[in-house]
Amino acid sequence: MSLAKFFEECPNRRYIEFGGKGGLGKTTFSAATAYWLAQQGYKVLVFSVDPQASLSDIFERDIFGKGPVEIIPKLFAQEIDADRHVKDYQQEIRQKILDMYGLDAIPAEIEDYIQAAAAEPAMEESAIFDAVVDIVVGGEYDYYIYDLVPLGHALYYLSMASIYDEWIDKITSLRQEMQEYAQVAAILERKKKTEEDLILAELQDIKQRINTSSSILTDRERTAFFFVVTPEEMIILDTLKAAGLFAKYQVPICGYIVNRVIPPELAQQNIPDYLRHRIEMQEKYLKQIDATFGDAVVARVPEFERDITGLEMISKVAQALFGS
Amino acid sequence: MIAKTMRQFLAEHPEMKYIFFGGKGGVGKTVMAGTTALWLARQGKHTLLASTNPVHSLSGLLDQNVFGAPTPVRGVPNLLAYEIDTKDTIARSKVELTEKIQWFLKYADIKTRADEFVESATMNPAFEESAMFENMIDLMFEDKYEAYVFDTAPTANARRLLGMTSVYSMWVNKMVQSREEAKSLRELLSYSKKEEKDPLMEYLLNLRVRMERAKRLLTDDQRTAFFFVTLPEALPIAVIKRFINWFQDFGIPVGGVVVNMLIDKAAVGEDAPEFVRNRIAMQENYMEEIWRSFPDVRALLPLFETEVRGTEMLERMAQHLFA
Repeated sequence: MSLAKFFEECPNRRYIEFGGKGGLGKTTFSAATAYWLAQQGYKVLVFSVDPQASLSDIFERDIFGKGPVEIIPKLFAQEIDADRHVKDYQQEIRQKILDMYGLDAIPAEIEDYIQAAAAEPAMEESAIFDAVVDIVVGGEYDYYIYDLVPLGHALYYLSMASIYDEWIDKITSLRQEMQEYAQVAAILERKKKTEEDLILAELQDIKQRINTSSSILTDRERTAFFFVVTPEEMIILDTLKAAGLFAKYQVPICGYIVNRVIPPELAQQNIPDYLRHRIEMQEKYLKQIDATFGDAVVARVPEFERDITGLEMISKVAQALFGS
Repeated sequence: MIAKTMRQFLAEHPEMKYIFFGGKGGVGKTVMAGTTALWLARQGKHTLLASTNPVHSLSGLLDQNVFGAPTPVRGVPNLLAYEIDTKDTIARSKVELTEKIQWFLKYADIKTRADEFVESATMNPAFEESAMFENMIDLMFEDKYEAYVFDTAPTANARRLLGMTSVYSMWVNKMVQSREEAKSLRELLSYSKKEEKDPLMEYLLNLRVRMERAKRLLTDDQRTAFFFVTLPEALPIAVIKRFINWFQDFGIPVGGVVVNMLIDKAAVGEDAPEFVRNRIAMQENYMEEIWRSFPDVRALLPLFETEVRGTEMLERMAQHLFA
């Protein structure tokens, strides 16, 4: 099964993700796939939430935090600025506190907290979740290419959803147990009940957002997930491990792409030792990849004579990925 | 041109003790860490090369099993290598956490079982990441070696730790305050009037001391240095530019930049295929950018003819890294 054929046969899969260890070429393939789809006449958004994101570097345009930027007709790229989203998020929290408690101004002590909490990883994650959800529920594009953060974090997002589920279920059931008490309390103090409901509503809202975001990752109808590997021993082992974990979370793995394959015909020419040795090493591991992943390998992409930046190189990668 | 080499930098910092290597995936951080540790050991320093990666590569690098305990590296006196067993750490953290939660639930008269909470708190990779970071800090505090080299700069974690120290301090202070209140209230209401030991309180106070100590160590430019590894390519350069900016913002000492995998022009024949000649031209372009962007380049390392594995190859690498 080739990658082009996959897109032809699975027209419903509109969320495309590339995963794998850092440094294997996830961002390159995200950009090249987006480029190819735009060439086919689809309106595409490729986006990234990784603070080390390199979409700006690969397209050679500063798009960080600028919203969706049209790179060529129909191809839009977006790099989410988590820090700015955190600031918006803080503002939202302030507003919620003001509304919830009917205050006119945020008490200084709480303001300190809100300031300090910006450094909390949870804050950044919430902000990123929101941004991703906003993007994908917008529905403005035919295709969404999600340049994923490295493996560990992707798994973390997936596991978060189930944790929130449990947690909120627990809280809900506790509240039911406390129903009698709550009624008494409500009579004593009307405000308290509404407050609790507001907090619960807020929790439900968080749960909703996280579920939306992780359900996109795991939607077997509309999502396709591809692993990037290179012909090296350690990488193959790590990929197998990760694929097992992803399968556990129901991520629809649709294939593997082998990157950095040195053109074997170079071996016939006068090449330096380093290159000759690498060709020999790759031969062995390419066999292993075929034995391990077999038909699930959807593309082999060669090592190019220079690194991949700019549209000209991206179009070369797209050709290698999809055939011309 | 290199203004100050790795060797000169270390000579100017005689108390240097904690060395980290950071950079994009696939640039050779582990090789640099191995090479540096080997060289320090050869200088007569009692050195530990430690990996806090969730996925280890030191055993592969040294061609001997160094998993689970500091292990003497064959043929290199003074050098020990250690891949920290994540499973151990996680299990230990789980036990500690369970005890704390159980104690707390009992204290608060909540009848739910603790293991549900523990399960959900520890089943994500972020927990593993933090556990490994704690390990690293423990090693640093233990202070058994004259030099420590870590094969990954925990960039995200270091950034968080330093950003969060203030949050934690604030949070711990609040917790301490409210626990004091709760305690006095309990003593007031209890019939037995017996003093209960409060392990949570101890934990919180310990945590605060730990965080502050870690921050002190990680920001001490006489004893700690983060080096960044790049290739002569656009993306790895862009990544370390960002890292260096972050680190400088947080006051973490950046020791400099090393450039890895330069193709040796001398080894390339006149009739080499275009593929090879074009890669060399590309590298030369990016080298110009590297000289422009990083005033503190410490070393240039060649692309060897085989993968760098085993101490013999590391010796070879050391001749370049510490030229």
